[in-house]
Amino acid sequence: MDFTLSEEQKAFQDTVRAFARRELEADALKRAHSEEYPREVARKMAGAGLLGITIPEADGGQGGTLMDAVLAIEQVALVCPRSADLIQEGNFGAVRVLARFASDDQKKRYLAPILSGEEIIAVAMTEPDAGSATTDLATAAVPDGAGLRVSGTKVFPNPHADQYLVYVRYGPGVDGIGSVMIRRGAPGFEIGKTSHFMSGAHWAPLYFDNVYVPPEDVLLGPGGFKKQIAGFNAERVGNAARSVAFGRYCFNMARDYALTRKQFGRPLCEFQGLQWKFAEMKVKLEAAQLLLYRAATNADRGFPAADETTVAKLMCNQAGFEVANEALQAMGGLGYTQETLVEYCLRRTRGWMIAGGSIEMMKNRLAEIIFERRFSQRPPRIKNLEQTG
Amino acid sequence: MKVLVTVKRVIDPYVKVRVKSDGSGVETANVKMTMNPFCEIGVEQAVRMKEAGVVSEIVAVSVGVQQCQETLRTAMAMGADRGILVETGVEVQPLAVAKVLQKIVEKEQPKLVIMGKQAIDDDANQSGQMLAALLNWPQSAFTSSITVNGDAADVTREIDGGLEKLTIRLPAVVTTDLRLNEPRYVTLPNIMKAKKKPLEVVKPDALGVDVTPRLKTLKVEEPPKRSAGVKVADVKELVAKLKNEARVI
Repeated sequence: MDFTLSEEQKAFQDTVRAFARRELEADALKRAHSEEYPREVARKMAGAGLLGITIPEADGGQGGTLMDAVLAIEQVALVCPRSADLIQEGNFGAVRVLARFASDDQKKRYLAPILSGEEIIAVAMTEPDAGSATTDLATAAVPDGAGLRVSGTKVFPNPHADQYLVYVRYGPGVDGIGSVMIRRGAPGFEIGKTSHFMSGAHWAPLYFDNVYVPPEDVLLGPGGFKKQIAGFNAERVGNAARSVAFGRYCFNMARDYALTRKQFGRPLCEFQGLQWKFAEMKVKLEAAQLLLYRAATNADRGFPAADETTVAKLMCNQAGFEVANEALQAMGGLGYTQETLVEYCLRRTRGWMIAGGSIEMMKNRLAEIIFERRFSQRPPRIKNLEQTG
Repeated sequence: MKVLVTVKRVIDPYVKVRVKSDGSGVETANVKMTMNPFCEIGVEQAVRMKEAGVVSEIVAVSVGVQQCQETLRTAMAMGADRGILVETGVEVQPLAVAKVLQKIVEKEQPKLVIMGKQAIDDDANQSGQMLAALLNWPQSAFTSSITVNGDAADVTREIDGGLEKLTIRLPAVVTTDLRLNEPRYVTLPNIMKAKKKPLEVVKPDALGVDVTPRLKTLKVEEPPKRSAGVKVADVKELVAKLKNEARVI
């Protein structure tokens, strides 16, 4: 076992840190509170080789590992939390699905503009009646000539994306699910009223009304869902990495504050009540980070990572939120203001306890791993009841 | 043409420097180190000249401890073709560095040496000028632009009174100022490629240079703590304070 980063990993960490300090630090506060989507950051990141880190060089990526991408998202998050979202989108989510399953032509039309920072991609999966029960999704894709017609409603995606990876149903059951690419502005595709998440980020419902999808825009046909869901492990790693990094961001802010802020004539760090709080925060962050690094490193080695990813996501989401919360408490009134990003990080880390697989779903998954049994969350089928009754 | 660029390993400018308790220097153990920012500008300049077809080979040189290899790898990830580390554990002072570089220049025969104008640790601002003197080459210190024209280079220097434009004969020594360029960020594929580039390690003895420090540091201490200032009500009070208390006017 080796718990140290390689020379190359350290060098990459240094270059990302330098990039974040020079390009992102000055506007970090403004960016987090802005209504604008930070597109200019994607372009800067593309220029610095921070998009498509895990994607092969032949496909326009950087040919790195999942661990490299984790190091990058951490370093950006520690300097400009909001900008870490662009690392997530350019490395951990739909881009990996595209890199793995898209045709050469699709890579050219969809992947290349994402990696150059010109376009933003979002995933349209969750529906009004299909959240954690993803496989209940109902957005229908029916054949029309060589192509498809897509109809349905999606909720929670980023309304500012240029292209959407849309999960659709070709037929019944899990095997009936696949995905298509639909561009903003396609006839019959309407982006509904923009709302805010607690994080401040935008979401909007997407309405597909008989949207024509040509055959060249079909990403995965029936049965594609199972293939694609493997990509979730990578997405979860990105989500977990941001949770820990945001927690660490708050920890660093609170630590600096505790060294200088004086109350009752002494710096906060001299109060034992706070000392213990900081010690506990440090332990949580380091434990979570080690689980995260294990999941990322083993995924790179090709080991099945589902259980390690699940453990890491659960631990990182909880640790990130709890540390952000304690750091805010340690900073008192200042932590509660929008003059620092501690309250922002708290709101964001709260969201990752729901997004990308809620912590409860992670626990369900772990129970299945522990007991080596599948526990369906669905009620027994009516037919079965009739048979037994 | 061949270019030699020098890179120095220094404490990361973002680190809060701490003075050792015995006053013998600053704490460097377990402290984050990085390439001197002015050297980074030098490497970037050489790489841009290579990309423009003016330069055919870039050799990066560092003088110092074994870990300077990391700094050389960064230079190679930026685009230098190979690295030379002149390895020594002793504190290297500007004249020793200049003497070492003189030997490397004699061996490598570059047409241009690009160096940072100074390093952010000791801010000595001497090695470049000393090297030019030892080689008896023209020099352009504090350079903010370089254009090579055959056997000469047009340079702009940032001097106290403004900008000075000169044409210098090559070979020459050029030291970089802040506005020469903005260094690139090294990318992951280039970090991996740099791993395979040649890195030669030599000792000062092998070059026939005695790097024993000639200057002795007596004591290093923290700058005095600044006490809080006072607010003055108006200009009249300010002038009175400057005259009677500060006694500067």
